[in-house]
Amino acid sequence: MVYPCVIKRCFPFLPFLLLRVQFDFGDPLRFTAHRNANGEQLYRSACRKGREGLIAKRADSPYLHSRSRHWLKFKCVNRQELLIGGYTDPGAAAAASAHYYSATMRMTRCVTPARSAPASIVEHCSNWARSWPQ
Amino acid sequence: MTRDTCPYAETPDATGDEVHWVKPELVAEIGFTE
Repeated sequence: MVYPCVIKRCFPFLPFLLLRVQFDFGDPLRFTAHRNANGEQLYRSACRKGREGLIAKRADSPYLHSRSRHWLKFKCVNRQELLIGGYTDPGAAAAASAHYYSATMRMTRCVTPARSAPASIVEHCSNWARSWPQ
Repeated sequence: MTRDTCPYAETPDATGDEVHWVKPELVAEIGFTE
């Protein structure tokens, strides 16, 4: 069984290529392109474009029907300072109003968290902000 | 610190839930992912 090991060492992506040609990729089966290098650069680029993040896999690790340490998830984390102008009761749909905090504190635009930001988060932030030194 | 109306020039679209408006005194830093 020396032969497969040599193959794997010389052509680490061969198993992947073999797998790829076994399928016709069409809905609902999608082929997702990958990159072999410059992960950090791609991560920064993804975050700049507003993407969710990156998934990385050890190239020579097997595909397992379980969790493994060979897959990594790198999420893009955004941050924003918001001036709290209102809140809803916990459990209510997101209707909390916050305002972009700018140096001049001009109040020209209200921002409603678009993506299901629970009111409890806003409440939590409110408590957090209250703990600031006055 | 409560008040009856939205403290900002524009009121955000309500979703039907009652909103408790407050004076704009507290700033929160929020981290989030998309």
